[in-house]
Amino acid sequence: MSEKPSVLCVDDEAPILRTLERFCRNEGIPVRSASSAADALALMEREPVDIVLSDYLMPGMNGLDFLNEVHSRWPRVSGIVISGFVELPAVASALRQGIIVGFLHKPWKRDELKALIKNASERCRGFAKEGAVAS
Amino acid sequence: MILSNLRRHVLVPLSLTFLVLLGSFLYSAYAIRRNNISSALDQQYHEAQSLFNELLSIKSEWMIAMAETIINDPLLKQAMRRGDRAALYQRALPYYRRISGPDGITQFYFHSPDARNFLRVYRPQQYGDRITRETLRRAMENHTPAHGLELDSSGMLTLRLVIPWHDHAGLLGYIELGAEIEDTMRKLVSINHVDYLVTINKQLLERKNWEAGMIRLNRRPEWELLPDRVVASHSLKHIPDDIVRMLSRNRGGSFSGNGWKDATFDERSFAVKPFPLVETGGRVAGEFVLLYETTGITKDFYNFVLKIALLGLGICSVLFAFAWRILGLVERNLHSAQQKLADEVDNVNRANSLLELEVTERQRVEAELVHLNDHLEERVEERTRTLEAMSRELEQGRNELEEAYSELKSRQAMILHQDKMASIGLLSAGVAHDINNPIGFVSNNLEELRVYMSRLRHFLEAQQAITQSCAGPADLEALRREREELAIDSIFEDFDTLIGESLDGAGRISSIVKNLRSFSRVDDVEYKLADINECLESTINITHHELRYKALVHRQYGDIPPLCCCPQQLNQVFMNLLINAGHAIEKRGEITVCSWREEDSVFVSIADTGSGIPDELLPRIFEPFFTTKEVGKGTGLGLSIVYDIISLHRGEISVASRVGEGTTFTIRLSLDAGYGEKCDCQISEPPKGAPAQGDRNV
Repeated sequence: MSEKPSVLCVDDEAPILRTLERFCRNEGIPVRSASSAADALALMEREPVDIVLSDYLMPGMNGLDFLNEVHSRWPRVSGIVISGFVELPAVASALRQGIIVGFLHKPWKRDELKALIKNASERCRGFAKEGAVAS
Repeated sequence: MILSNLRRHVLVPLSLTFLVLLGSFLYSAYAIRRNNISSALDQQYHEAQSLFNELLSIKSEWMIAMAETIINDPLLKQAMRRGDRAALYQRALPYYRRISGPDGITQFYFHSPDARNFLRVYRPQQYGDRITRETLRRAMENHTPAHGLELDSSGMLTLRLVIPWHDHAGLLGYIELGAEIEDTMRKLVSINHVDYLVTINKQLLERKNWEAGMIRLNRRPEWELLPDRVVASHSLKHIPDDIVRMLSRNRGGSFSGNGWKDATFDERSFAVKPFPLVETGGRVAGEFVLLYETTGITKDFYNFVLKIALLGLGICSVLFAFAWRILGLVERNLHSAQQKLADEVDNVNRANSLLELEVTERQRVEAELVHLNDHLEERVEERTRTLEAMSRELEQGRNELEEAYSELKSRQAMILHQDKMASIGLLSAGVAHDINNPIGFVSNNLEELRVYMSRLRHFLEAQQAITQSCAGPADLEALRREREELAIDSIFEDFDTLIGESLDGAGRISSIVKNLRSFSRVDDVEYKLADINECLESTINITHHELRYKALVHRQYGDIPPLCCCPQQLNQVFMNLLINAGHAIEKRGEITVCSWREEDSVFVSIADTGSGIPDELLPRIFEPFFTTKEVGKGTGLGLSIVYDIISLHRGEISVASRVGEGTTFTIRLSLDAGYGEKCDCQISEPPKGAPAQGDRNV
């Protein structure tokens, strides 16, 4: 896997957004960031994105609704929810339905995030192979 | 009506009685007074009579004394002996003059022994006649002096004394002295203050002689004044017609009996009573009529009668008025009493009719009673049965109430506790979010820092290798000194520790928030499949701060399947038991938490090495509000809530304890408690009380 999938981070809190960008840079993952769901959607319309990391509680559209929309428009994009809540039944339900591929508790461990990104990257590569075979 | 009747009925006989009494009284007073007057008159009459006799007797003695003097004169004797009438007269005349007078002797005789008159000294020319008077006859018979009253031919009553006259040769003859009693009567009148009349029977007199004698005494002879007698003398100025009529009616004798006659004349009243004038021979010559003046007495008597009558009438009037008034009062009292009586009678009549009604009612009730009595035993038994049943029901109801009460009490305790927990939940939900965000980027940045540091160390090591190979010894020495002074090596050594510890701190903060959050979600009472071991762990972590200085907590978790339960409530159970265990340990001990599966049940035991519970308190430890802790330290609700929650899960809780060794609580929860259908999901719904998603800036 020479080309790494691109990641879009969405959070209304700048320090968290910067932490996520820092992680991605350190891991050598191409990263973009947006401070709201609307900005993120606008960015996605311009550039292709493979993985979306979104906070749950945000002003305007919340993380789940946002990822739901992403899933319906770009089904190959893997969505991961990050939340400060210990348990979120709605998140669990979205996981079961396949709308999102992962769920991350705040505060998360670096390894957890790394594993989630790795899983999501493999999913992306799977889509890429399918695409290559199809073409 | 009654008033006038009663007065008439009582007052008429009363008045008559008063009148009769008054009449009797007046008559008695009159009779007594009259009797007194009569007695007084009688006394005066008797006094007059005896005085009259006394005066006559005195006069007789005086005459005897005179006669004694004369009889002893010798010259007179001699002259009589000789029969010399002239000498005798000469000698006797001085005596006669001496003894004669108005009160004295009017007649002086010398009689010869053959009762012939020898010489009348007061009338010397008349002599020789035969003397037939009683006094002389008695003196001749008895040869003793004799005296007495004797009527003379002229109708004069004369006191006469005849004494036999003796000389030495024998009887010379008789000397006779005569004195009229007129003066005696005048004396009597003057002593006794009475008037009198002297009457003489006409048949003893000759009219001629009497009239001559009256004329001689200078008195007017009235022979015809009275039919059978004449008035010889009297003390009145004239003889009133009244007296004349009175004397005329008493013909032929004295007044009847000793009665007094009243006579009124010259405006004066008199009481008249005669007494007979008896001659010495026993013949009644006439009457000596005494007249007592009673004018004053009569006047006094009438005044007395008038006063008595007035007094009597006055008393009667007062009594009558008094009786009238009293009767009036009595009448009024009677009237009101009668009215009351009438009212009473009415009342009694009414009461009687009521009584009759009551009697009827009573008879009816008695009949009913008899009837009831017959069935009484039956009814009593029935009632007793009913009462017993009711008593049982009451007892049951009471027990139910008591149960309901204790249940209410424990429910209240639970609600209290759940409220508290809900508050904590609400608070911790917010706190969890607010803490997790900063902790999140702190810990993540620390991790990125570690990545940076490791890259930096690689770079520095590479740089040092290159420097070692191409730099001079002096530069190397300077670098080495600089490196030592700045303690670069120890920084690199310490860096991992520093990052690790910081990450560990952030992790602990995160863990506390997570545990608090998961523990306190009491509002999440939904049943779901839960891992009991997780619940135990989370609860142990929550109570860590309470237990860590007192007890070492051993975990002996068994392999148990997820259980359909309300984990939140079970968390509370575990927490209460753990905190109790901590309290039971005084200084330092151990708490062992075990979980295991046995057939279709899951068991959880929490044991401590604390002080233990005395046997006598064991049955009470699950009662609400029962506590052995000091006031303010325990609510007494903890074990009660435990018991209720386990009961709600259809489980069981038991306790084994030994004083001084410790206590073990064992909970059994059934895997198939009958509400598995409630556990429809593996991950619980978000809490209703949690901060709403999307309406908060995070």
